[in-house]
Amino acid sequence: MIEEGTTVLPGDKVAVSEELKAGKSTYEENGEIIAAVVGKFRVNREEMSAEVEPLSSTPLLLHIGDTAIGEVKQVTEAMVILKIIHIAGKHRQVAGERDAAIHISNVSDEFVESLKGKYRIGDILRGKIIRVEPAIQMSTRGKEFGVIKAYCTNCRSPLVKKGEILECPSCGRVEERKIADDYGAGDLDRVI
Amino acid sequence: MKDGIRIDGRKPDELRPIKIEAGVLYRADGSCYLEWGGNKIMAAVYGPREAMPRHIQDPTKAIVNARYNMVPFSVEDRKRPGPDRRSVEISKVTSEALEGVIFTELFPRATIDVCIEVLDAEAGTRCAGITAAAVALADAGIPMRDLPVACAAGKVDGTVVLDLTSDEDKEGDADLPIAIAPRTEEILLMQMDGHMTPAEFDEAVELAIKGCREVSKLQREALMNKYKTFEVE
Repeated sequence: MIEEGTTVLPGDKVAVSEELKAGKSTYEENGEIIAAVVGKFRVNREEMSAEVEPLSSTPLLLHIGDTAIGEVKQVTEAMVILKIIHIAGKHRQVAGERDAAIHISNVSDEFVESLKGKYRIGDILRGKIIRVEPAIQMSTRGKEFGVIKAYCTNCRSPLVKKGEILECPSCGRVEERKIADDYGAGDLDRVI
Repeated sequence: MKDGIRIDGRKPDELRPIKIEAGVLYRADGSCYLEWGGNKIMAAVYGPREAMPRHIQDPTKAIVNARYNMVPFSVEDRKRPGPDRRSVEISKVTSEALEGVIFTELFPRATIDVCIEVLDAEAGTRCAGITAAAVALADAGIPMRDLPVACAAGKVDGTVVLDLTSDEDKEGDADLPIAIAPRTEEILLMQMDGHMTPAEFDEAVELAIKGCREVSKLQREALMNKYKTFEVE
C-alpha cells in the first residue's frame, strides 16, 4: 500500500486486494487496487477500502437532496414532466438522464386539487431531487421552491410578480402559479 | 539516414521534443495543450452529458465521441475545413482507443465528447491527439483504467526508427502508430501503412512501446504540475 495522501493518477497501483478492497474512484484488477482518477489516496477504515479523493472537477451525477432547476415540458393530471437544466452550485452538465417528474402530492405543502394554476409548459422552476432511481422524482414543497420564471400563456412574455399572482406586462393577463419566494431574481445557484 | 543519425539530427530511437500542459481552457470540463515536434494540438473534453439526439443513447453505458479536426492553417497548403475521409477515420479509431480505458458503464445514456484540434501538423498527429486527449480526460475527472498514450515507429532507409517526422513519413518505407495503456501495455490502437518484414514489425512495435513509455512520463508530469498544489475541497 502506498502512503495515504499521495497524489495518484489513473492507472497507478495504490494497494493489493489482500490489504484493501476497491472503493470510490478505484478498481481491482488481478489482485491489485488501482486508481481511476487524479486525486489523493485515502483509506476508508470503516469499510477497509481504498479511495481516491478527486483533485480535478468530477462528472456531475444527481443525488437525493440536490437543488435542481428545471423547465416544464408537459403537465398531465397528476404529474409535471420537466427537464433538468441546471444543478444549483455546479458548473458541469448533468451526466446522463435529465428527465424528471413532480407528482401532484409533491407540488406544495397544501392540498393540490389540480395542477392547473400551479405549473404551465415552459415555466422555469426550482425543486429538490427526492428520488434518482429508477426515475428522477422532484418535489417543490416549501416556500423556496416553485416557479422562478414563467411566461404568459397568451403572448409568451415573461410574467411579473404582483403580490401572490403573476401579471403579464404586455397584455395584462393575470395568471396563478406555485411561486418560489425569489420569483424573478434569476438565482440559479441558490442551494437549499 | 547518415551514420545512424536522422535528417533532423536525432538517433533512431529518439523522440522529438514534447511539451504538455493540462487544463488550459476555462469552458471545457477538461483540456490539454500539447506540442510534439512541429505538431500543436489542443484537446478539450465535454461531459459526460446527456447524449443527443436520443436514439444514439446507450442505456447501458456512455458513448465516447472523439472528433479529430485539422484547422485550415495546420498544413502547408490550406486544408479545406470540415471532416474528410482521413479525419473521419482518425476520429473513429481515436474514439475506440479511448473507449478501451474509460469506465463508460458508470454513465449510462451519456456522451463524452473529445475535441482534438490540430493547430499545426507535422506527422504523427493522431498519436499526439490521443496523448493530449488522455490528459484532457484525466483533467475532466473521468474515471479511467489507465492513462492512454500513443507513439509511432516506422522504417526509413531500411532502419526502424521512432517518431517519424513529416519528411521521413513521406519518403520512408512504413509508418506504425500505436496507442497503449501503459500499465498493462495493452494495445488500444494500431495502424500501419507501408511495408515491413515480420522481424522489422516486431522491432517497430517494441520501439513504439518504448516511445510510449517516455511520452507517458511527460503526460504524468503535466498532470502532476497542475494538481500537485491542489487540495481536496
